[in-house]
Amino acid sequence: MNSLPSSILKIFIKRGYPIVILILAWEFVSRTRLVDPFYCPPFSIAVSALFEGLFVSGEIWVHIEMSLGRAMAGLFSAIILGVTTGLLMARFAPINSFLDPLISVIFPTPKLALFPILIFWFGIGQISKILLIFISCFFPILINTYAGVNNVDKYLIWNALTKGASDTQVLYKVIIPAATPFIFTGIRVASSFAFILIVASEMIASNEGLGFFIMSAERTFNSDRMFAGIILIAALGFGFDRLLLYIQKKLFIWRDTEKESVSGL
Amino acid sequence: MFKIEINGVSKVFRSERSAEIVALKNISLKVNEGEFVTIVGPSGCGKSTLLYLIAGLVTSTEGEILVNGKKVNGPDPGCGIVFQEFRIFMWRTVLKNVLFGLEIQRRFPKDKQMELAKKYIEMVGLSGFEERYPRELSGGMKQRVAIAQTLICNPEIVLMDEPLGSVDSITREVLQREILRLWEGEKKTILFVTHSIDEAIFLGTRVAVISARPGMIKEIFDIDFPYPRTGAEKTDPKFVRLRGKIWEIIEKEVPKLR
Repeated sequence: MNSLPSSILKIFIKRGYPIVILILAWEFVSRTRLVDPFYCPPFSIAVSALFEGLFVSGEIWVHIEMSLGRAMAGLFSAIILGVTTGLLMARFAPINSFLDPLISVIFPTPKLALFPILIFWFGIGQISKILLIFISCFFPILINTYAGVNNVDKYLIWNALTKGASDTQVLYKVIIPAATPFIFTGIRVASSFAFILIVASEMIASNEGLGFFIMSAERTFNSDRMFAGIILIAALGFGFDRLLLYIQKKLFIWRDTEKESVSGL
Repeated sequence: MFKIEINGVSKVFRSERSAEIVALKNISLKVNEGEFVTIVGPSGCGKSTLLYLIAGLVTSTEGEILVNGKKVNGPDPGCGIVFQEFRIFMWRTVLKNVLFGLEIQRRFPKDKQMELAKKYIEMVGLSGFEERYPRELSGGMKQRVAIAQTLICNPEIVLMDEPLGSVDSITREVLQREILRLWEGEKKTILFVTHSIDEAIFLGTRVAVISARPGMIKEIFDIDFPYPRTGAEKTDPKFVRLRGKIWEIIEKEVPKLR
């Protein structure tokens, strides 16, 4: 079955050619010493350092596991709690009026600024980082869930009520399905935060993880390893986003959007 | 006992920005079982609000509404409503949309549900489209889904809020005849809101003409064309005269819309 890889390749070339051009430019500029290759090694050198770390020494795998594990732990707990809280806020006015002002204060605060408190309280191990990811992912998911629920067409709810639906049935059969696109957008935003913060937090206070890997390469002037780590994170972030877009396409096959963008915006 | 009794009903909407809106004022109407009553009036006269009151989705400020002799105090599956602009569920296929009410009510086992769904899908002329999503359907088709979705629950009363307003005129003629056919076949009590005088006279056993806001019943006409109606009625002199009379009443209401 060689139709799938070749079609992916075709799409990649047709849509991805700007990326290829960028990479070739990078390679060229570095190899011809237009830029000092000590500071900016050619793309191919970075990639071979990456291969070395993955398949020769195998040391990078630990870092990948650590970073992804923490990010996913924080993200998934944020999804569960964020969606639940959003639903509760939309449904119960007292909960809404209590949480709303708190959110308006905490949400705009860059969560990375809270990281020192978390380190102070929980040390530089797993908990502080997972908590950081959780707090940062929680708010966009909560806010999008709340918006999604509030945006459900009143007539759809009326439709269900006039057919005898109970409140619970309205929730599961109308509100949640109608709000899911919004919730999913919140999850996409939150996952980009998760990637940013896991790298940042590991650069600041960690002994392993991809952020640590990049930072320690920088400190020891190993620019090829540094770029290797950066390329890896970019690839992981890209891959995860593609996965989300794929899920989105399958889940929301019913949606009326005919966009053909690569970025999925 | 009347199927629907509307006694001195008024509805006032209060908004934060001070001005009260009196949507309906002192509406009284008695509907017998099996009637097809059409309600016609200019835009914004509260016709939709009247349906929402009967359906129990909105409460009246004054007066009461009785269905089967009992006061309405909330939505009830015995009273189905088809909204303007096909409010069907975009994330469900045609089949699952039509099944929706049966899923909620859980009165029948799965195989019986499927049987009913196929029956009503065929009845509204959408056989073959069961697995399509609403986004793949035209406006007329979506409205047919809405009608099937409501009728499958077998409500005794069917309220229809300008169901053919968003549909092109050819589809409209087709759907008018289909609705009449369904009504004649199932003998339900139908209240049908429209802003088309022709449609009101063509479909109804009686036509209630409502004034501009605050909506009040100006006059009720009995329509004595026999059923089944073919469309030939529309050129009958009686029809034309009645149309003129109703238009005269409504024409006087139009300046009030400014």
